[in-house]
Amino acid sequence: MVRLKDLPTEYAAHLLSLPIADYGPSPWAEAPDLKQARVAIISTAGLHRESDAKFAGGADDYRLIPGDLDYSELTMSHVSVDFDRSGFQQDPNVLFPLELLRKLEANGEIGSAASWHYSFMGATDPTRMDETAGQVAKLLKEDSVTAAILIPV
Amino acid sequence: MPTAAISLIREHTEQINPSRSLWVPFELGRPLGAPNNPEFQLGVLRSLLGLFEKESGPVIEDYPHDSPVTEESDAAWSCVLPLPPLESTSTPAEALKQSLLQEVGSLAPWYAESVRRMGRSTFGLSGLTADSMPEIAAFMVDVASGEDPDWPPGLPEQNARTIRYMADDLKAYYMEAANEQPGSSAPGGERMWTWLYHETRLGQVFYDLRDQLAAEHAEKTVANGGERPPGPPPPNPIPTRYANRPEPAAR
Repeated sequence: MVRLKDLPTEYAAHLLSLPIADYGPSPWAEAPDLKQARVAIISTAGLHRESDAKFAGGADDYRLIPGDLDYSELTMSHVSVDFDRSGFQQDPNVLFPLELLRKLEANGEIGSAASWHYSFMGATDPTRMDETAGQVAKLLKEDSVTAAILIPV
Repeated sequence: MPTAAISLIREHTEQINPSRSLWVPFELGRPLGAPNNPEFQLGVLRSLLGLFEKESGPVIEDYPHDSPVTEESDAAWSCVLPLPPLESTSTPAEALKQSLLQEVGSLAPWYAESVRRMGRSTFGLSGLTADSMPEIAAFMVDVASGEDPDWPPGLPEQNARTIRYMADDLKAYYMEAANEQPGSSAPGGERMWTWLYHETRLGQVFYDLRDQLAAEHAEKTVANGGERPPGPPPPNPIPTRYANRPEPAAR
């Protein structure tokens, strides 16, 4: 579990020493009623379809994941010595809950799942993604997305 | 665009201070908590989506439930395949290589079954396919014992990063095979790591590889007048919290 007090001292110190950019105050965007919301997933697990190019270390680009994805096409090229891919290997929903979003859509708990979802590489310095993130924000709006969930790994 | 984020390291989220965050007490690599447990995952997802109903922020909420996969629930899992013996008639490195190849062979049917059932695999970062497992395994033992072997054929590049990717492919092969073995459930992350690093020949090779590459790097540093040599640090396939080798009796 990721409580720093439960991790080895050296590893916890390493995590705390990672540089974090100052993004200033977060803008507050009013969200729609969940039952009307169109929801997209933004993942930083380095996910992509088998037919896509793998992510390189430090990549600042993204891969598209279609809303009608067949999970047998999905793979993950973000690796780290300090987490493993066994959770993903057993069940991709544990880090990319698209099937669950579809279920919530079918139940009427959300308006809809987006047509496209987006995946970035996890270990990249986030400041390098500023430009791509802006592009993705525009693409989300074009897809009429009204709520985005951000899921790290 | 309204956003709601899962937070894995609360201290990081407190610094970044995004508009809506749900901190979860789960292992890295499992932000929804537990594989193959849609009810638990839905609980996390509903809490995350529930943050969109907040009228002001920034807000960081703590998810109140630990993952149902615990050390206790996970302790019962064990690999059904025995640890292949080390033959005493050859050199230690050759004995380890033969034992590792035997281990790889014994996992092959379960890896193949995993690919058949899931229709996918996380093997392939090195650019090779799982058909090259024997060549990758033998290469790693040779490097770990200080030799300078030929690289397995078919690699798109040959450098320190390639060794790291081959180590990740070996891990993928082992973990996907372990997931598939008969039993009530697949191992959780901690149990998987204990098996991989402490109970397999591959784990032994990974510790040898780490130590050999670190020693070579130290020699280069001395030869470079005490300055770190150019290039990336040596690949290390061992996670920080498994840094200590297991006691010999554990193997």
